[in-house]
Amino acid sequence: MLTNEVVFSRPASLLEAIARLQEDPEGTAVLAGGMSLLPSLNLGQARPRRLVSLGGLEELRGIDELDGTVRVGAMVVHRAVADSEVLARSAPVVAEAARRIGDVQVRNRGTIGGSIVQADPWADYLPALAVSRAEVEIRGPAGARTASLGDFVLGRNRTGLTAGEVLSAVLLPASGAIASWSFVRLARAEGTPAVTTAAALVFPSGEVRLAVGGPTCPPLEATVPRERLADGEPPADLVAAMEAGADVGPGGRYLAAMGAVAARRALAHALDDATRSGNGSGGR
Amino acid sequence: MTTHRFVGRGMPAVNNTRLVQGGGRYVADVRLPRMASVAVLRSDQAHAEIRSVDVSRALAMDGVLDVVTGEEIAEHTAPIISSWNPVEMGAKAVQWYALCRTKVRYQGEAVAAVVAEDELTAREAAARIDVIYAPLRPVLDGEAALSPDAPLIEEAWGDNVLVSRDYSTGQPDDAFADADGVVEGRVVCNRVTGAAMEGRGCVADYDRLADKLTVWSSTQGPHPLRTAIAESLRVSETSVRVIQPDVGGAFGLKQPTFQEEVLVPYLARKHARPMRWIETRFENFQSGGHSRDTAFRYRAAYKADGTLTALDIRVVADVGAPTALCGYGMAFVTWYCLPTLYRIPNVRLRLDAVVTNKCPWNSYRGYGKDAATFLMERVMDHVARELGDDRAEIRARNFIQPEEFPYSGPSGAVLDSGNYPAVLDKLLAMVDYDGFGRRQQEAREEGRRIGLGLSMEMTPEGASVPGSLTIGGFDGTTVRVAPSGEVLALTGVTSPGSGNETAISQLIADALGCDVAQVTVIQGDTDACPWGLGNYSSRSVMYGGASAVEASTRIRERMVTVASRMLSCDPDRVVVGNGAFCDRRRPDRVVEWAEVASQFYRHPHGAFMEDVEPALEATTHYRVSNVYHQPEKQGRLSTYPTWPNGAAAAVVEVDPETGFFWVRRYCYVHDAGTIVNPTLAEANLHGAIAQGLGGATSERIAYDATGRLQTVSFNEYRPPRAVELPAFELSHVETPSPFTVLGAKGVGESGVGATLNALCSAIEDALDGDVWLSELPLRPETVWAAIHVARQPAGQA
Repeated sequence: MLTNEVVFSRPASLLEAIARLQEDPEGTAVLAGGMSLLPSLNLGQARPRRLVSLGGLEELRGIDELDGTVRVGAMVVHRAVADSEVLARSAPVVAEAARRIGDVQVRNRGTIGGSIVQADPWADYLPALAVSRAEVEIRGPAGARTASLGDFVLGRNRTGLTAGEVLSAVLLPASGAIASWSFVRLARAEGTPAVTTAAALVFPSGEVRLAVGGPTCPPLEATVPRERLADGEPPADLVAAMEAGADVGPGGRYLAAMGAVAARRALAHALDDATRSGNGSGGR
Repeated sequence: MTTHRFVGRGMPAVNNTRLVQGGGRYVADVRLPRMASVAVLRSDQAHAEIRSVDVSRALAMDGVLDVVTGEEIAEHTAPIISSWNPVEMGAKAVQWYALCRTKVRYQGEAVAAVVAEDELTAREAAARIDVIYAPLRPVLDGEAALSPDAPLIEEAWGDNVLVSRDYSTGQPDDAFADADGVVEGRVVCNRVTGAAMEGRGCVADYDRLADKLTVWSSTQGPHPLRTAIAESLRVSETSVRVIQPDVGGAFGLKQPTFQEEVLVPYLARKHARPMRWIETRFENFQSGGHSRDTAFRYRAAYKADGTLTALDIRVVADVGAPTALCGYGMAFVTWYCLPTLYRIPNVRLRLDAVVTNKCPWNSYRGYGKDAATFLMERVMDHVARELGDDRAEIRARNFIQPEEFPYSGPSGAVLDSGNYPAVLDKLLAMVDYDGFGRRQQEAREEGRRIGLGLSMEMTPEGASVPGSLTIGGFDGTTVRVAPSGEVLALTGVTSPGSGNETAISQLIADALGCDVAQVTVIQGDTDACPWGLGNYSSRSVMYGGASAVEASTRIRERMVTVASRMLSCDPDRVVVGNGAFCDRRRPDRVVEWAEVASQFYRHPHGAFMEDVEPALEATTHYRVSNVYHQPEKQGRLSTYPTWPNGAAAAVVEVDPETGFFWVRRYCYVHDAGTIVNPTLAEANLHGAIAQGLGGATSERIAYDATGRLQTVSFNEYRPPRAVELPAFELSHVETPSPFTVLGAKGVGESGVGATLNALCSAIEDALDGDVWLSELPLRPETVWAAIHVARQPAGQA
């Protein structure tokens, strides 16, 4: 149950939602699927005065391709991302990340925008979006702006969203020029939280782009020519950055080591498949 | 003559359909007119003196009816009855009231309570009570609590030891000196909790004119709770009625009397309004009770042939803050069970149950037997490893043998019966133990690392503790045959959702000679059911079932008498079955079951009823034997009459790079004597093994360095999900107990403890014995650290 009284509204348009947010920018939480917000409300960890639901905003629910950019509305649920033909063609690694999130109930309710704003280090989307060079579109009283994912996600549960703003869409370059890809999720079982996640894209040029989530938030990213990966090991500077970025102590050491394992496996899967369309890989 | 028609037959629980259709009525579903809500303010400090409690801001809120503090409670109520009797057990005691007054001893201890028109207001008001604490240094580790400079939890005690136990049998020092080898090490069990899906909750309603207090509680023991409420509120016991509605899991946690079970009835009487308190998950983690937080140091002496000759064990159990809950008894049971299923002639064993600034221990499935099992099985694996010997062989060589029962253990325990070699042999065949080396090799060639681990397990059941109101080796049942011939049974035992009412129906049907569908079982109402102690220690079929059989037998004798007169034959010629009585020699002569029952109600002065008591009703209380509470006369104190046991084999696959492991097979052979309903027995084992695997692999209650709870939700405290569990392969050996009516020993706790060592051992086996695991839980990071910092058994490192 809620631990305090909350004023709830469910605007019918994005403009109205932004107007609602202005009424009490600091005291309002945005409900965008609720997979993280609702548990924290129940636990009394989040105690907003107002709750603005984006659930009524059809304008945030579409996946559209226009002028070389795929625009994924912030309220698109994970299942729709996973099943999207547009994304299967243009950003299969993002679709695969969506396919692996939580369980079927979570995928039916949780949204891509909600997940990004939550900014959990283990979030499945983040490395997939990072290698895809995703941008986010933000709407606020001053209008619209865009930011790269790296600039938007500032740290664990911290983003560049200012009070009164709404993340409205994720923008993905519709590059068809991927030779292969992979997504690795290290978890004991499907439906349990990942320890680390990694995504890799191999471009026809032979460049490989790799991102690893878990040891740090936002994910660490590297782009290297595939010749440099002949030994199957992730780039040394990336591993060093994971070790530096993870928390100190045994938990951090383990996370950094698992970041390296996820990276190694993501590279192996992506490079194995470099001649054909890539495949998502399992957690092990 | 009794023909067993239903006993031994697997049947689904009678309440399954109702419960899965949403027909359960839990305490949170009890809604009464004018009902107010109670919220409890809990200490956010681990250890602190209460300097002041200012309730003015809370009282000023609209909708707030009352705020009570420890002062008021101490003035108007008496301390809560201890579930175990500490005096009889040689333990120190505290006076524990429904709210604390001067000092808080763990984060989550109840400090004040708010009554409001609704739950939201009550919780909000509780947050506005201003308590000024003077923090004290917390003690958060059992071994540290024994240090002379540790802060004292209870000043009056002079130390932090709640109870110590010590014994030595044989000549341990000589045996260690004569040994061919000695292993030593340390084993640490994690702090866990039962995490029932339904938390605690209580609704109380006071009828002032009738002077009747009715309390609905998600409890395991309505009758002892009634006494506890009456004593604490200083009211007549018969003016209190306790009703146990459907319970959504208990696992021991709902056995004792909680502070709120006194607080809420107190407030209902005070305001003459119904009161409701339903705890949150966070409250459950903070104050519902924990278990298993135990550290062992061991030394074991052995001969070259693998025979263990001596054992020296030091147990330190961190039982949390002292209260009236029954958790600390688990430390006693750990001590009392050792050395479990093995015959070891020279044993020295010391237990210190120490108090700390953590949530009190409270009963949880396994009840200390899990920790004892884990320790002994680690010792067995350790000896096998040192000798390079087979793990199954080492165990078999040290078993107490079937012909040695009843067997007197060194702690005073009297083990009723068992056939451990048969249990182990059946397990080894089930898992194809002999063929495993080949499978392991084949897997290795495919690049997979698999391993097999074994564990024996011992789970004494039917606990009976001297001087305890709540834990006793007896229970009662009333059996009533209505004029229609239908059977109603009212039991003193209760069901926390485990289905014992179905097994009891089966026993009654067989004892009476009627159809199981004719029997209805009513439980959990102190105004309807005979005195009984409810559900714990796997006693419901053992005691509830036994008393139901005895009461049914009395009724059947009277029905046979009347039937024989109706059939004009000798009573010993009467056969009962298929809903009728007949003359064995003239099977064509039949009287219907209902016709006979009808005589007892419609014809009390009739020809067939002369000298026969009218109405068909009998109440009996069954008391088990093989319990010893008179040490001066019997030479021992022994609290468990029956000793179920089992053996587990786990096959795991390990990913050495990540420390992840997956249980590929889980085999379990169980011996709980006669099994009344195999379907329900196995359902119980499924739950027990799942809880065991959770405690073995992921669950751990954690506090930070200031005593603040870190595991506040199922995000941090993760019981296993269905997708993480293997299929369970189960089998039974049935070695009846000579001391119980049915030969049944009790089902419910076996399965938990064996998982702990089975998994450790399997992971070690998958990694060629390069690692040794001695601390739980076995999280991937633990296994990874063990692999990357390969260690020998602790103590030799």
